[in-house]
Amino acid sequence: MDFNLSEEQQMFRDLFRDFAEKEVAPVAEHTDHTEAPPAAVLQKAAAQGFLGAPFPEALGGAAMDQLTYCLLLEALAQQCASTAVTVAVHTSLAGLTLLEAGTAAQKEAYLPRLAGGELGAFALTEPDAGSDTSVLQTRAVLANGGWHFDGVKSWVSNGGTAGLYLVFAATEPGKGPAGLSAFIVEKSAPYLVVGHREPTLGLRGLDVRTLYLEGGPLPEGELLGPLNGGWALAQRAQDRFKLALAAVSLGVAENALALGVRFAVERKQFGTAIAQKGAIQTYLADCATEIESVRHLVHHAAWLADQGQPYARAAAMAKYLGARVAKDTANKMLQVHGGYGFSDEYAISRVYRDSRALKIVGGTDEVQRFLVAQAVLQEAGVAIQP
Amino acid sequence: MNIVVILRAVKDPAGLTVNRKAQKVFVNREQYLFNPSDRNALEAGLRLGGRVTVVALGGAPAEQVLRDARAMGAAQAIRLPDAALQRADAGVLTAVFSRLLDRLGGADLVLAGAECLDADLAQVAPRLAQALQRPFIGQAHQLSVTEGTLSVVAAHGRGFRRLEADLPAVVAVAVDSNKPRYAPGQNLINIFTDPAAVETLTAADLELGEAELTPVVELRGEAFPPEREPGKRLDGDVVGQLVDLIRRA
Amino acid sequence: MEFTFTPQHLALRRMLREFCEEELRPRAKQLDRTGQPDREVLRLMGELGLFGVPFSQKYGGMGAGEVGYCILMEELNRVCPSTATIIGAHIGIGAMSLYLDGAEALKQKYLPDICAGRKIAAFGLTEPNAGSDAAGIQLRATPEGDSYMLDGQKMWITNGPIADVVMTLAVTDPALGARGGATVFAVEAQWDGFSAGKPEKKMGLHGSPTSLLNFDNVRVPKENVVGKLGLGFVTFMKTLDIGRVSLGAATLGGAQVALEAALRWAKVRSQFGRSIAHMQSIQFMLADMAADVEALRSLVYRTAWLVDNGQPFIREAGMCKLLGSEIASRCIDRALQIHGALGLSRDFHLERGWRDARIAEIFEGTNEVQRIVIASELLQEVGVRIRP
Ligand SMILES: Cc1cc2nc3c(=O)[nH]c(=O)nc-3n(C[C@H](O)[C@H](O)[C@H](O)COP(=O)(O)OP(=O)(O)OC[C@H]3O[C@@H](n4cnc5c(N)ncnc54)[C@H](O)[C@@H]3O)c2cc1C
Ligand SMILES: Cc1cc2nc3c(=O)[nH]c(=O)nc-3n(C[C@H](O)[C@H](O)[C@H](O)COP(=O)(O)OP(=O)(O)OC[C@H]3O[C@@H](n4cnc5c(N)ncnc54)[C@H](O)[C@@H]3O)c2cc1C
Repeated sequence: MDFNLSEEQQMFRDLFRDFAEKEVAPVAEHTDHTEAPPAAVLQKAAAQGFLGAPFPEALGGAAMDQLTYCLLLEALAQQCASTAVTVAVHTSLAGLTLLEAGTAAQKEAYLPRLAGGELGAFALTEPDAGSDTSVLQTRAVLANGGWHFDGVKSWVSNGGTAGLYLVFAATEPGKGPAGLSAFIVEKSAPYLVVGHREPTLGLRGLDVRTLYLEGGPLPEGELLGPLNGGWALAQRAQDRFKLALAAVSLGVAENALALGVRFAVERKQFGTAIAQKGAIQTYLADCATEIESVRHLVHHAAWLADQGQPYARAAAMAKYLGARVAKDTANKMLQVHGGYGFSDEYAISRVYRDSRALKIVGGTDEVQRFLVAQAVLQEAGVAIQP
Repeated sequence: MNIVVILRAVKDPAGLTVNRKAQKVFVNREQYLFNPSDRNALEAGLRLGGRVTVVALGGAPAEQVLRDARAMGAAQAIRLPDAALQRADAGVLTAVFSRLLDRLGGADLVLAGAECLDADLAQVAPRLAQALQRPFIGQAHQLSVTEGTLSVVAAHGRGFRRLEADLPAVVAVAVDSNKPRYAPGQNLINIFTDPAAVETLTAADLELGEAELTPVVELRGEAFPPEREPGKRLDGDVVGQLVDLIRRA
Repeated sequence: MEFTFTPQHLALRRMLREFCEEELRPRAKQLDRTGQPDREVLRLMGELGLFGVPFSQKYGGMGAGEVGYCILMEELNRVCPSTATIIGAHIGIGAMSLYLDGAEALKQKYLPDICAGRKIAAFGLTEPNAGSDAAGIQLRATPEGDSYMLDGQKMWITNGPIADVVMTLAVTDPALGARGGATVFAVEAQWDGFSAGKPEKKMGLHGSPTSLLNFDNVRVPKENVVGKLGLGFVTFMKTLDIGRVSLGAATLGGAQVALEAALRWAKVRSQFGRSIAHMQSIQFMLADMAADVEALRSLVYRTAWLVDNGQPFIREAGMCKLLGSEIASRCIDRALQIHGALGLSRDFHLERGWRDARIAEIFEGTNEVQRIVIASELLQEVGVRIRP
């Protein structure tokens, strides 16, 4: 057992923190306020190799392992959760799915573009398919050598800002998960219509959209992975995304704690800093303890992934606990701020709003718990259905 | 000007579930509403600015509606609590209300809602007008009175028409034809505190006999109307198919 | 034991429910967007007597008691927490301090206008250095002839920018400080030297303006002293005690509407081939919410009943606020969770409720302060005195 980060990982961590503090932090509030995706920051991140962090070097990436990539997301989230989720969707859902399932030609065509700063999006969710994406209404039909689409995708992160979209559609309707396929669609495709920007409680810098797919043709070769093999791709993408979101949650929680500590030390009431009060100390202790447990879950899940071992269950646990801790920490640290916590002038209210989405995006708490329970019961020889 | 407004408390449809399969109406919560168009009638009466008397039949739900009406501004409220009247048909009601009007010394204007959320027979007001030999106007949207003449804007087909009648008259006021006022809180508190806010009169007080109280309409049973056939969606050559359908119809 | 509402209160609730659904609900979203209180709806509320619900009809109030006032706050907060907060600061703490301790003449001077909504009231306690430690106030009142000159600042004052009269706690005897040396003044916003800052930008309650108040040597006539000279802190603490009951009632409305929304959505949303109402994770959340709401409802109305019947209620009032604010946050959070991503959308009403609800754990004495107050009462009974 070795709980230390490798020297390289430590070096990267410092680099990420430095970048986040210098480049992300100054625009975090502005990003929230204007709800404009942080385009300039993302370009700078791309220049640093952060938008292709875990991609192979040959494809324009920085060849980081999952743990290092998690450190990147954590550092970004410590300053701006919107930026971190943007990168997580881009990398874990879009990029790594292309890397996993793309043909050599596809990978060469697309991954360098993504690493270079063009954003990726992942269009799976539909109005009637949220937690359960095994039955999709969006259809893709092959006709005259091209794919033709018909359907609506909702809650697509980076939906208005992406250059590339992975779109999931039913290629054999009626077969459920066994009839789903994934496609690579360019932003310029005339049959891809970017719709309503979802105005959200938090993560306001994340460009979440409804997408309309109406017509074609998408060249036959832009199918990603095997025909009717989309479900498995989506599952693995979701596992990666959970790990990424757990790292984001960790960063959000750490940010909240840091803000709370700073306020508690500076704010004086009853003649002393409120940090001197037992109730405040209890909050700080609870949050610090929970954050540490999330960190270990995240690092362990990432380590499993890097070892090539199954990590889905660990990622589900980390995502579930991470989201909860992020929200609870932000909530408690907002409380520590008293009335100031309710003011837009203090960052904690933004962090609190941001934290709320983490219990829903990438699979709700309830779904993560189901997955963990499923794994636990499987060991006891019992199969359960959602 | 003396105005009498006839009010009803009706079962709140929000408390019901209609189950066609079981051919049953389930009462989840027994709660009552101020019949919507009756509220419009009351509002119309209050806006005319006379002395408004409200009347209703029944028990506690009627009492509540009458007190609400008083809090909204009605000067007097009369409740007819007889259980026998609960089964009254339009004929009996006509007899009851004409007798009541006599007792009140007549009214320049009788107002009622044009429809009722439950039975919706819309008979009482016109029959009362007939019995009293007074003009009747239905589906009224706007009322005004100048020098003993009532002027009413009433729904007519898809539009409206303006009608005039001499007072006294009977008018049925259309639902949603105005926005009923809210009862000011002070009035609510005071009216609902005042034990004498609503007077009661029995059939005996009105000297109504057995004959007048016996309904001629008898309820034999209740059934759901037949289900409507679902529409059909036409694909392909829609016009051709339509023409064909119309020809065959 | 009698656990039923009187016909008066039931009638009031019916009227309020309809008023809130018809008049307030369509405006609530707009209030959140623009951050401007809706003068038209406030005018309507004034006509209906909603600005003086708990006060005696002698002063133009509705005479509906604390129970009636709790019904108002519950119903308002079901639909629009911003409007509920305007009313809470106006009646529940602003005018309440005058009503509780003011001299008859001063009550006659302001309460009729306050009850009719012609004058909006506010409650000025908090200062930059005096939040939880309210005794740390510094705003000075110096006698000058038959007046006092008020000099200093208040912050976080609800209704600050729209108030006509602000009940202001000021130090009249610096040697004694807040305890024995502070006095409440009814200060009119039109007087020279008084000015309100810009509305604060907040996470929620956008339709309820909160601001800094500047007192730059404001001359306040002596007859505008509310209650006894030097005993202003007591007046304000008493006011906050009673205010906590109706704040609890407001949180009840928030929790209740969250439960209703969750039930509606659980019924219509299907995933995995069935309505999510059939999933136990959802069912248990609903059950917990309902249990929370019911417990809170009992506590709030029992406490209001204690108030109306002249019985001690302070500890229960603290509990109303403490439990209520946490229950409301919890219920709204669960309702949001049950809605999935939709719950996060600003096109839908839940996220607004979520943002708005959070402040109840903080203002009118943070929940930590409530715990301190309750604990100190408990411990006092066993002979232990604690300091905050
Ligand atoms: C900020 C944000 C960004 C997103 N980005 C993307 C994206 O880039 N691409 C994409 O495809 N999707 C995206 N999503 C969609 C996200 O994956 C879904 O919102 C999520 O999976 C939940 O689905 P839902 O919102 O439809 O909730 P529903 O599935 O309708 O769930 C409603 C409630 O039912 C519960 N529930 C559902 N099933 C069960 C069960 N079996 N047992 C117990 N409880 C259950 C849920 O936990 C929840 O409480 C995003 C969402 C958000 C909020
Ligand atoms: C929207 C809004 C509206 C408001 N309206 C009004 C109004 O109308 N009138 C008015 O006078 N004020 C108003 N306030 C002010 C409000 O009452 C205060 O914000 C509140 O009392 C807390 O004070 P504070 O913000 O200074 O927090 P602080 O007192 O600085 O508290 C910071 C944190 O320390 C904790 N803490 C403090 N002391 C202790 C202790 N001894 N032991 C343990 N923990 C402690 C607190 O609980 C909190 O968690 C409003 C505030 C807001 C945000």
